[in-house]
Amino acid sequence: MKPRLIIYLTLGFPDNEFVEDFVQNIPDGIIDGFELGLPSSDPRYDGPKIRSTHGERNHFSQDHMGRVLQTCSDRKIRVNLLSYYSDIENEGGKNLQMLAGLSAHEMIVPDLLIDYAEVADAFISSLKASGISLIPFFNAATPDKVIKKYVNETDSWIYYGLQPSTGINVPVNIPEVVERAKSVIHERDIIFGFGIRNGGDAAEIIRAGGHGIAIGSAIVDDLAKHDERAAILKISEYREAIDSAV
Amino acid sequence: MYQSREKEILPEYWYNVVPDLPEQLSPPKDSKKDTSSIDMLNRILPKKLLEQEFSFKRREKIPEEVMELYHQIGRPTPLVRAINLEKKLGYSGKIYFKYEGATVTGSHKINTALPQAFYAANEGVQEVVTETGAGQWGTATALAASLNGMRSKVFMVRTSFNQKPLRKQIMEIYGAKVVPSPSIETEFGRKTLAERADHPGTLGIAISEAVEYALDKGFKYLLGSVMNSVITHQSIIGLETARQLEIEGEEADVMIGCVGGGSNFSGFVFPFISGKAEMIASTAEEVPKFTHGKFGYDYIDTAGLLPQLKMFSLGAGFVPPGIYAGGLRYHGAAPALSMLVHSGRIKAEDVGENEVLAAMRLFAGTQGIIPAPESGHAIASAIRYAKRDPQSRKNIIINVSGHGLLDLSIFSRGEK
Ligand SMILES: Cc1ncc(COP(=O)(O)O)c(C=O)c1O
Repeated sequence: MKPRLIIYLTLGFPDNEFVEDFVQNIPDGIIDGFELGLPSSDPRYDGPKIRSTHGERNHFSQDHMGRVLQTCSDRKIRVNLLSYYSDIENEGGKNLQMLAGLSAHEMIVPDLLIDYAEVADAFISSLKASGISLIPFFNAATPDKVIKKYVNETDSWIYYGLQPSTGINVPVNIPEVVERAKSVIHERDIIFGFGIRNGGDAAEIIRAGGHGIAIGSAIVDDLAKHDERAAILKISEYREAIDSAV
Repeated sequence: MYQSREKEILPEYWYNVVPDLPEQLSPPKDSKKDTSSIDMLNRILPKKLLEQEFSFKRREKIPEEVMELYHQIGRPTPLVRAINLEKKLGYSGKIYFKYEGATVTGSHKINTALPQAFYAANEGVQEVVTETGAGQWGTATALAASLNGMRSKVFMVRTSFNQKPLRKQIMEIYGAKVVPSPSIETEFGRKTLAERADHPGTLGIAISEAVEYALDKGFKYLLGSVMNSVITHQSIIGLETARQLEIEGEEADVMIGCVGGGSNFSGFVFPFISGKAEMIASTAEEVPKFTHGKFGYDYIDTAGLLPQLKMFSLGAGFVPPGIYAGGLRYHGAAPALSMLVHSGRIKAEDVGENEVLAAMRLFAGTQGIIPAPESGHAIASAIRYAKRDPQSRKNIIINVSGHGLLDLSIFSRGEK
């Protein structure tokens, strides 16, 4: 199977117009989906690069998100959203009602199983009732028991983080991480992200049996400079790296 | 008896509890928006240690060189049945103690100092830096550095530095440079002294100084407790205990240890976590982190150079009284241990000075060993347990984390 490449963007970063153009201009076929982050006031499980993109909370508007989703839908690019539970909670579920009306049907909530485990079951049910599936977000620190429980309760693909936080540089033994994920998670696609530093890492994940990768921090500098070409070039290089690893 | 079965007792792998926890461990947290204190760990910790810290593999192979060093410093340590103590207490069950004081440096701290120093030396590092409270960790670091051909520097909490000249001397014999903390050698130390010239020092401050010094000089920093990789190394205590009990044909019903940062206790009990044994963490009444602390994110060190961890804490700025058990003066406790105390799997109790001193005397009088005052807390809790139900047939296993031969001055303070 062709490995999947997911690109993370924070909505509104570097500004609304850039993001809207970007999803319009990215060439057909090089990516398998966008992961769109709702700006958060406390993106605690992101690394410094991604965290810097959440500063643009003020630029964000619901209309902007609507336009981005519309473009992706027109272009048949799969989209999932990312929102911190702390924000969903602060906004009293308003967010959720809004999401229910959108064309994105999958969602990552990075802090849910860590900081809000006690409400996770109820939240997953209410997401389901709104037609949204939770993409469980695991990493090496997630205990076997917890992984098994949430694999059972969900039906989407799985997001597995290489690092405890994205963009940081602790040494990671990629084959061991992939092997551990696959030893606990069966019959579901596992996409690896949070800390992929280069094409070599990406290829190693695929060779070790990962189903795909998610890239975020790697293109933040280009986005910050409004350099669409550079970002797209980098994305194409990742595409090549994972395709040639198969 | 045990020494002849050394190979059977010493495990080949350390055990990391994280994959077997009931909930996901909250990751370390950066508190600044644009810099990463987690990333900074890359500069101060040996790479291999960092990899262990964040890879969370259930089994971690002990390098052959470290195995050899473990033999050299007295591992496996004995598991002894405390028959005289049982008799004295009129306890119907059995009491065993795992004796970490039998290592050459006199405590469990050498169990993690050795692999950390080995990893640092492998990276070509010339000098390692650390902090010490009671002196046990500094002693272990000094020896581990020497055994791996490196220099060492130890920031020692000022109260201990003044109270324990012998500790300082031992570290110096092993080749360490020892300075009292707060010191004038770091910016944070100078700032602290400017605010209070006679500051008694805390572990939190000493950690900040050691980290700053390591960053400045490009040396590696060794961690004495709290971090998960340290606890993984300390699992050797529990893994050996499990095999020794198996050889005896016994099981652990109750396991008791003392908690400073949580390394000896966690290393002792975590290998048993999936079983049924009751577990009791004994802390000092003066530093009641589990009973009066808050469970949430807090800094490892006072200056906030290191990341925040989700743990029980009395606050990184907490200045404990200059208590008799320096190793228990730390404001927080390891995240995995904190989680298990929070969930109720592990019980916690505070023990006060008089009770600890009495327990130490009783233990010395019955078993001949003068325990470290930190370990005295574990013994006091075990005595409480046995006295509560003398008819019980339960096996009580105590971790005696160190000897107290360099802490004798606490007896002359007179029981209050
Ligand atoms: C003998 C002894 N026991 C226990 C401790 C407490 O530390 P930890 O909780 O990390 O084992 C210390 C710390 O200095 C110590 O020296």
